[in-house]
Amino acid sequence: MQRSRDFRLPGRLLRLLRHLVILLTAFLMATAAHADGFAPPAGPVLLTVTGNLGRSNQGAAAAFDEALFAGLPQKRVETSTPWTDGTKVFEGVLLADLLDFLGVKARGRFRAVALNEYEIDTPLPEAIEHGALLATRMDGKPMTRRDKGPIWIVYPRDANPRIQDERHDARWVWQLARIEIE
Amino acid sequence: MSGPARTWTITAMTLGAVIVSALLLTFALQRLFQTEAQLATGSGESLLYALFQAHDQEQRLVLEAYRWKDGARREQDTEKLRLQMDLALSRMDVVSHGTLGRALAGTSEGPVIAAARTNLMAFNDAMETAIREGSPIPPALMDGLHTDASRLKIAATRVFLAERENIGRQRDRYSSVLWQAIVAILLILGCGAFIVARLLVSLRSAARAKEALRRDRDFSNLLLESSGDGVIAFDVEGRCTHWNSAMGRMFPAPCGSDVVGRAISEAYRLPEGHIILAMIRDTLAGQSLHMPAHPVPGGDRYIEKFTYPVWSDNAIIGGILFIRDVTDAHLARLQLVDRRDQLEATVKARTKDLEESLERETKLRELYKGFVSMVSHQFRTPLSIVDSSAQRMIRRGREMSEAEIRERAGKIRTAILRLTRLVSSTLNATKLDAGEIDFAPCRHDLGKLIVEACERQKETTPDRRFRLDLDQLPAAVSCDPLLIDQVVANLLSNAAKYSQPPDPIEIVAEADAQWIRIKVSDRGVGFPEGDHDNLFDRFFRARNAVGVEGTGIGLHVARTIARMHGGDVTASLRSGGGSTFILAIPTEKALAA
Repeated sequence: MQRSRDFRLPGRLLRLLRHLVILLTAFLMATAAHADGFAPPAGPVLLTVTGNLGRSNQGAAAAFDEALFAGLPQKRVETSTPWTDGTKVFEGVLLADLLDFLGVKARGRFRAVALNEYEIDTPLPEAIEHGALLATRMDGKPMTRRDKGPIWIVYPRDANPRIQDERHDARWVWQLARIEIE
Repeated sequence: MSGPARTWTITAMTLGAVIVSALLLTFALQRLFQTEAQLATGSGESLLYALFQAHDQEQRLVLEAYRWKDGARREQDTEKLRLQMDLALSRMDVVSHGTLGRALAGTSEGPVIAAARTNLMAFNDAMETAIREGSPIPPALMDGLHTDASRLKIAATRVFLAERENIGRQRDRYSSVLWQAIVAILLILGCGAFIVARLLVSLRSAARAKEALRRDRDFSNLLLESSGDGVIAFDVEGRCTHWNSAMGRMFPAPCGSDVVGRAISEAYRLPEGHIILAMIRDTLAGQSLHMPAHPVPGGDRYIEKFTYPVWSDNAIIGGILFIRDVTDAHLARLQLVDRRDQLEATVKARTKDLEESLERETKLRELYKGFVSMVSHQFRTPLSIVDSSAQRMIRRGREMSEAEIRERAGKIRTAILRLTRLVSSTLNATKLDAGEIDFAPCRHDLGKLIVEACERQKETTPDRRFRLDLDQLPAAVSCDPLLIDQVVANLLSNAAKYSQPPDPIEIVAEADAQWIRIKVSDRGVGFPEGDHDNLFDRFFRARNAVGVEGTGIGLHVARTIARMHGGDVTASLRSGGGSTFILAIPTEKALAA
């Protein structure tokens, strides 16, 4: 892994430079900056949110890199899962906080799409009520693509018997890449 | 089968049906719960899905690897290859690690997956080397990956078949459980039908029993109502259970006729310690009470109360109180008592009458005896004088001288005169007693009357002296002179008869505002002590008067006349011998008052 990162370094540097330029431009255009906009991603995009957003940073969409995502309020959920052993501690951003940040009202449905094109529709109010967390860390360690990362939608399953159901378990989308809000 | 045994059997059967139903229900529920619990477990399709995903990602990785081999080695191709590698590995990890991995490890698929993961990791290393060096990936590794994908597919097939087998077995099990449940439910239904039938029969008999009870109650109400007595029954709590309208008429309750079901003390608002409450208490303690006729407070009626406890088996379950209006009977009894008292009074009066008439009869007999004795003594002597003179005259005949005849005839005449006097005085007394004498009072000189009477007495008894003291007499006294003259004459002749000369006969008159008293005193034989009043009885002769001529009429007549004047004649013994007879008549003034 370390080797592969080293291998990609030139490309990444290049991209970083480009992003820095964009960032600079954005900074220069600060006075003219869109009131609803926020800083565009500087690094590789972890998550893209599309739909009728109140704030965006990539056209009509909102794209988050690691730093942007880490800048959102971080919450913890401690629960067991049907796929892992024992109780795990998840850290990440609550879906509710993300929607607040994006100025999206919690109604309608959203579609979660994974890297392997797995997708599932979930009613937004239900997901928020059940405390959906977009986890980036498990037991203190960042999750990689090889290990259900970089983002896994988790729910506090142990604390809520209503969601201890196979049908609900399908909403635990790992390797989350995109959220489409209807 | 006898009634009770039949009832018992039916009850036992019903109970049995209920128990069987309960057992069957428990059994069916238990089986269903068990099945439900088994339903929750089962990860077959999850395994299948995970294996399919692992297979698919391996296939995709193989495809990307072939593209790499065919020369697509740009940056995005590398990224794509790496992404595919990550996805394949993460999918492999799902079936080799965690809960699903553990589930598969125990099966024949465990080694297949373990080998596939090892191969994948080897491929990863080779791929990284190829990317680093820009060289192709060795085809053997790609073929191995392809073979692994096929093996995963076969594993998925086996898992699918096993799962299908498992599902089939589970379905068989569910089916058997469902059939058991269905049979149990059918049996429960049968039992239920039996129980419902029993219930219907019971309801019908209960309705019949209720109807019979109602008829009984109606009949007992009719019985109660047909009683003229007030009837009220109560339970051990003192609550009214039966009540009839006769009671309502006798004692109207403040709550009207709504007495049944309420406490008697409350329905009639009886104060603590009321006699009725005490009777109810004693009745419930087992006593039969009877309160005899007594007046109703504030009314003119009389009632009797009876109470009896009501027994069921050996326990008192209540009591009954009868109140009977006995006003008529009681009044009749009171009337009877009145009649009896009247009757007794009448009998007493009659008895008294009878006793009085007996006494009168006795007195009359005494009177006749006196009369006969008087006649035998007083009439015989003159008659014998007449008889002896007549015999002498017959015997002597012509030998008798004229003087002798004159003498004898004179004796005969004297005797006849005496007889005539006896007869007339007797007749006078009879007349007097019969009230045939006229009483004609007038103002008269009583002194003159007395003096004349003395003169007449002197003619009969010339040897007697009279001492008169009439100074106190008023000039005129209101009296009947003929009758008073007879009284004075009687008193004077008595004094002359029962005393001897030369003792004088004293006549003294006294007068005060009320009375005029004429006292006639002698020094004669007097009369026996205690005969003061008897002297005045008709035909009474004192014991010391034997041998003295007299009818026993004179004093009686004297007293009768004196009493006609409103006065009296009394007798007293004189000290030194003799007696005094006093005639008292009221003065004019006393009469006027």
